[in-house]
Amino acid sequence: MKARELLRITREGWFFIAICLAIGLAAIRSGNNLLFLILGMMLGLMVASGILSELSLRGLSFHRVPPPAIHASRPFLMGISVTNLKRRIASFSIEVEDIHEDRVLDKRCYFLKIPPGRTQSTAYRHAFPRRGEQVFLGFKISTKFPFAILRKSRIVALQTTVEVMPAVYPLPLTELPAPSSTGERQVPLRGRSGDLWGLRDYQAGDDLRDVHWKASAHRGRLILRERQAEAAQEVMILLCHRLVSSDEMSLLRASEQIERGITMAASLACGLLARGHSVGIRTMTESLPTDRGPAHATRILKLLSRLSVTDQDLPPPAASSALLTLRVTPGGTVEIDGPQGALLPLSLPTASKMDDLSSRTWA
Amino acid sequence: MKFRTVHMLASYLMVATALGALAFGGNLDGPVLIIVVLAVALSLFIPEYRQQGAIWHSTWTVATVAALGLCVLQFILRDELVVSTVSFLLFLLVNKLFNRRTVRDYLQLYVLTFMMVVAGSVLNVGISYAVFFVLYTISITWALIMFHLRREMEENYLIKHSTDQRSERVAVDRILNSRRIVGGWFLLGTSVVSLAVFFLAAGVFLFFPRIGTRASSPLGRNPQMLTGFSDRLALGGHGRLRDNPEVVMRVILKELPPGVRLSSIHFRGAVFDRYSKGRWHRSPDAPKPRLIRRGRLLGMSWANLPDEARRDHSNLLDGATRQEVLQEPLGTDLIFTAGQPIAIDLQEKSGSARPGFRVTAGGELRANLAERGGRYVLYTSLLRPTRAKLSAAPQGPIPGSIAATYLTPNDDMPSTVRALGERIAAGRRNTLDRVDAVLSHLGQGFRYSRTLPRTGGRDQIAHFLFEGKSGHCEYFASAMVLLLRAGKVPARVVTGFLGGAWNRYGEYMVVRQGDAHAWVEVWFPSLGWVTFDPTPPSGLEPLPSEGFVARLQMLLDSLRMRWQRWVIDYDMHEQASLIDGLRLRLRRLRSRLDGVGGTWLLWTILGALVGFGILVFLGRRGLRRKGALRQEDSAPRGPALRLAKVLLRWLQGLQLLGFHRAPGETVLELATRLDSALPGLAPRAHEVLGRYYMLRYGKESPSRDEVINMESDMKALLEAVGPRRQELALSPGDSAGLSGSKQLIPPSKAPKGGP
Repeated sequence: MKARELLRITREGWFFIAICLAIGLAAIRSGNNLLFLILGMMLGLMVASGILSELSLRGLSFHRVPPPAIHASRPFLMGISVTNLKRRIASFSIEVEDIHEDRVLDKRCYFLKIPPGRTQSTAYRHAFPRRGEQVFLGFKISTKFPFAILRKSRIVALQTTVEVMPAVYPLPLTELPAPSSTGERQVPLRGRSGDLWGLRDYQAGDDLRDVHWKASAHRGRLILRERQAEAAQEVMILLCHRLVSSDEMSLLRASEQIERGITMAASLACGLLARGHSVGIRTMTESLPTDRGPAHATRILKLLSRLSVTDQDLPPPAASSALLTLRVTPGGTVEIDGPQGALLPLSLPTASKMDDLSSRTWA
Repeated sequence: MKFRTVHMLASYLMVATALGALAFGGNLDGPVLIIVVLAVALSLFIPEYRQQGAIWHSTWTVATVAALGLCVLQFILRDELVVSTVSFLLFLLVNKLFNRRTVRDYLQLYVLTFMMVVAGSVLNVGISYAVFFVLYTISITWALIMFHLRREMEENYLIKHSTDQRSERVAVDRILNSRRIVGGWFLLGTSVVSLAVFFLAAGVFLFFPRIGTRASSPLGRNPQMLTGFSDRLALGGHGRLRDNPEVVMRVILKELPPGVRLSSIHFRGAVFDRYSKGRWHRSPDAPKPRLIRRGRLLGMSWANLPDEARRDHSNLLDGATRQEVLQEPLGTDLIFTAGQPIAIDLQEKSGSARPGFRVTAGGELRANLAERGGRYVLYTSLLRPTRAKLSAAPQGPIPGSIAATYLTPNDDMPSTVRALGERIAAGRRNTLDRVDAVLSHLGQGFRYSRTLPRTGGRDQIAHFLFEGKSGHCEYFASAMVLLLRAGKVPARVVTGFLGGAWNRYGEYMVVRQGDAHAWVEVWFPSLGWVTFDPTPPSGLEPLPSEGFVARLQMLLDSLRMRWQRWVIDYDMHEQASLIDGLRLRLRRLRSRLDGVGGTWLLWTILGALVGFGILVFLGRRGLRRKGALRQEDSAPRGPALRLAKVLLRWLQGLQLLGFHRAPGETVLELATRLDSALPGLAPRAHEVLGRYYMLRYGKESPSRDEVINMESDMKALLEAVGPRRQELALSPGDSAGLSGSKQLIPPSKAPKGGP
């Protein structure tokens, strides 16, 4: 870890210095030796402040604990844990600020006391407006301990990359056409309610209710129980993310439209998976076959989070053999792929509504 | 202890120490102090952050206005700005203690206590200030640390975030009542820090450059009311003086001339020449010694003496004893000298910017130390001429000014006393003989008494000589002077102090008011003024200097003396002498080192220090690494490590045979995959690996034999895979299944890793 130190005098510190000067002047002017003694005490307190703050900041180890999934425009809790590696001395009054792409986030985590050899954790709430990779470069750690006259800070480098998945909003999927009688197949797929399908390792996004605790205890890691689905309807989502624009303004607008389309695709996929559908996705550059379950939702969201807007003249995603194929256009409209091309009455909330919804927990 | 309680106690300790620093100066009114102390104690029971009603607030507002009015009135009536301001400060303190509603109130409380400590530096210059200052330094460290933590808790942070609901502040009460934030070790550690702060303060105090000399405040010390040193001396005015243990001055005598005892040193102060009806007076035109300026010294010489006239004054301090006197404020501008003064050091001054040393009538020394006290350095003659010298001294003519002052003004002498004096002196031509005769007369039938005689209107000396025959030193001295003058010997009464107690802790003499004394100086034509003391020894018993109480008093007094000398009177001269002393010690050290091959020794010491530093650094680093290894509990050690290496070798063998372990693939999964490629191997591999896991992660560590068995089993398993793999390699159709499989990783990309 590379550390850089900063020292700043606080507002109280300036007052303290002003009083020091006043006492010093009074001592020199009057020749009252006891005022020199008081001046010495005040200067001593400043030195002690520097030493104690240094002791407080030294020997600390920092870790960042990101949540399993981060969605754009949705607040998440970034965990920060601090370990006091010192053997005897506790650290007091430690402030930790995260550094995101060379900018200190305006979110402070405060640790009142970290006893020697102990670890303490806390979290701060934050939200990224856009999907994609986000890089945290390190921490700015500060303390005003012990007298709040000096703020000593230190930059600690600790890089962490997190993947911000697209925002997901609840959609009224009851409007979706009912599965056709011929297309309903009783295929042995993984689901939530059928017989045991198999065991596999736990992945981020899996339902904790499906954890096979006995097997997990036996193997020493979380093992998930997969069940056979009763039945499933395959839905393939086709997403176009090609950027077509002539000027800069329209480029920006078009880019926004594509982002909206990606958000719609993510919401659609999650909504359908939550209803028990088997969902796949095809974009102009990548694709995922149909599958079910929360882990598959994570796979789709990760694909969408990495998806880059392209201006190349690529062919649109091809239709699939799935029973239901939904085409999501830039702007977020959804239509059923086929000769009729029926438009589904699904829409994303407006920007203000999005903010409200972003604070809710998506289920 | 709860954080809240510790914080409150630290704050109250701070208040108490600030109050002590202020109160022990003795300048504040006693009743006011008692009320303040009681109010502070009462406020302890007022709960913090208590919401009070409008009446409560109105009452305090009215009280504040009233207190301000009273303090202004006090200032107008008594003209004591500092005392009036401090009184109001004390009221504000009480107000704040009763109204602790927010953490900001605590901050204001600390500001008030700081102002009290600053005011204390003016109102209290005693040793008590030092004690309270140390306590204040400790308590301010505690209180400020806890104030900071509390403010951080209450105002800024401690927000609990949760995923599914809004963030909320953690209940402050819960943290304030926590017993885990600060404990005994915390307080001990911060006390050590505050002591370091105190020593740093002492360093700043000593080495902060002083400009000019100190001008101490008149409020700092209250002058003692010393009797017997004014312009007149009334006999019988202060018979009980001897019981007063109050310190008058402290005298540092580095060395004493042989034969001189501390108890016999006379510290001369006032000189009286004219007697009238039981009172002694000082004539303004009494002869003074001739003053000689030699550099920083002001010398005194009775130039009308034949010996003095011949004396070469180039070396003024021949036979002189140096004495450093720290005089308390005595309400008189007299300064006291042990023996006859020879010179005073004009630059060795402290305690006042302008001490104004001067020699007044009769050879008295005076300076502007009446109100403030101070320090001065004198050179005096402690040696009294021997009897042989006094006897052999020529009986030359008495100078006119001496005779006019010390012989002729005897008009008020009672005739009976004059007749007695003449009778005693009859037939004795030598001055010493006459003195001896008077001393002999007073030594027969006269006794020391502190009971003042009732004279019934008669002259007190006549009553003492002919009727009472008892009295204290003033009676004996006065009687002797009058009898000598009747016998044509110039004499005068001198008041001052006799002897004192030796303080073994500070190595100086302590002179107290109880040591006040009066004696006689007799003029010898060729020698000048010589001291004689007619008071019987029985009356001169020293004050007790043994016993626990006396020793404790001595110890306290030595502390007081050091405080006065090194803190209160510390100025640029002291600072310069301190630095000179340090330089001198450094030079001595260097010269000592030079004597024993110092350069090499110095380099050896430096080298040893650097080497020791490197050893400590390396040692700490090693310990840290050891500690880090110890923390990694999961890392295998001993037999477990050997077992792990067995598995590692097995995996490496498989890799050589073309079976690479995929990232994230467990060893058991690899064994299963082996089975898909080489059917029939899996059960055996699973059995061996199952035993491996039992040994590796079982409760007991594996034995040496178990590790060896496992090694041979793994080797056998590998040998079983080898021929089958070769069979597969010979069959292209089958091997295509392997090479085309996703699980087969090219060797160049195979991950490295242990079990």
